[in-house]
Amino acid sequence: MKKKTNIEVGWLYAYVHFITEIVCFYVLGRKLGDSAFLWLFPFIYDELAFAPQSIIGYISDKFPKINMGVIGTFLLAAGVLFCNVDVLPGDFTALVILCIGNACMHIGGAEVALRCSGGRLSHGAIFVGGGSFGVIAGKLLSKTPIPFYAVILLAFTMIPFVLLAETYRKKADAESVCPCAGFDYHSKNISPVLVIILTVFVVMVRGYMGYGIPTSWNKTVIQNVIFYVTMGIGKMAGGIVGDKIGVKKTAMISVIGALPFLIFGDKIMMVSIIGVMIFSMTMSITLALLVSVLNNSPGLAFGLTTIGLFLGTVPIFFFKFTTVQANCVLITVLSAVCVAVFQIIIRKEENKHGQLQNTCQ
Amino acid sequence: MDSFKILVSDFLLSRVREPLIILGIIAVAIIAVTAVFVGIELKNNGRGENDA
Repeated sequence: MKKKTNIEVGWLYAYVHFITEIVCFYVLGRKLGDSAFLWLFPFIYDELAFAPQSIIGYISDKFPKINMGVIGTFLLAAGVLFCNVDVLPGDFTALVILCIGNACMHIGGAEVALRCSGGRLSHGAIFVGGGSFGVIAGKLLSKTPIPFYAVILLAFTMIPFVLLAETYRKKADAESVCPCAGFDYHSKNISPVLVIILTVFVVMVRGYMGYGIPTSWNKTVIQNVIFYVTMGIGKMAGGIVGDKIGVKKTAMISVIGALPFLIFGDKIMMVSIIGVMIFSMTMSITLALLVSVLNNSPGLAFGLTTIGLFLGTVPIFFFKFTTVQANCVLITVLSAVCVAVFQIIIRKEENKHGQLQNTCQ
Repeated sequence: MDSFKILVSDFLLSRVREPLIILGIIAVAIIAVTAVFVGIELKNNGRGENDA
């Protein structure tokens, strides 16, 4: 019998993630208008918002009474305030506060969504997918005359959602010694350390590939909105499809199925966005694999994915392939590597939810 | 190598070298601490090795 789970938790944190990204990309969009910050500002953001999530996640795993969502909301609000009111020393102090706030929000969402999911992928996927909508909304908002205090007020609308989601987390923690024990997707034939290394490697490859996708069709604001919305839908769909047809099938479809659409969609928007949507489905697979290995530490597992994303995007700041042909070859080679890795690390017979043990081993 | 482009010019790199070094050290430190945490978790609670 399938264990009943609270899918609404994923939606609660999808909204929180949406607002979080709006707030951060509003600030980034405003600061990027200043040429002195060009290049370095997003690099600092990428590092300090992504990389520390593993440490914050581990702290959250060990001290569940700390509400990372509430802390993150106040840090985000403070970050926006100090980025606009020049009272702190240093050029980047306010940005660091904003980044740590962003990291706390992500960990708060990961803890709640993963613990309440009963081993399903859709909760975490819906939570993560919400961020893509926020990225483009924040970028657009930064080009409007909306004042920063309106964005701070927007940040505080997250508080009721965070507190409501927390009640679900407490319930999930009370019902089970290890709420994430349902995640059981990795192959037992290879070392857990190797599963973690290979999964993080796939996340890195995905992070790099995301920037290499040829999208010369993407020129207008509307097309950019469509691109990010498609990405968000793809991330959400990855979890939902994964729950329906299985993790291994979804992983293979998302890598192999996306390839022709990504390669031949350079100039055709409809073809390209199908590829982007399918490609984005991989996200929930890699998250599920890491939680599967570290099922007592969902926060740490989520943080490993963000470290992978950071490491995957670092090369983008220094060099990139500029021709479509070179990018297509790169995408094909990296996709082949991802397929091989998934074939090795995902177990053949996936655990059915009805057979899940709700205790840690 | 027309298809390959270096994005960071020497001029820009000279301006951001110091922050880059600091960011590099922070990144390495975070990854090292994370590796320790993962090791602790796998040793204490990881089920993979027991099941293998």
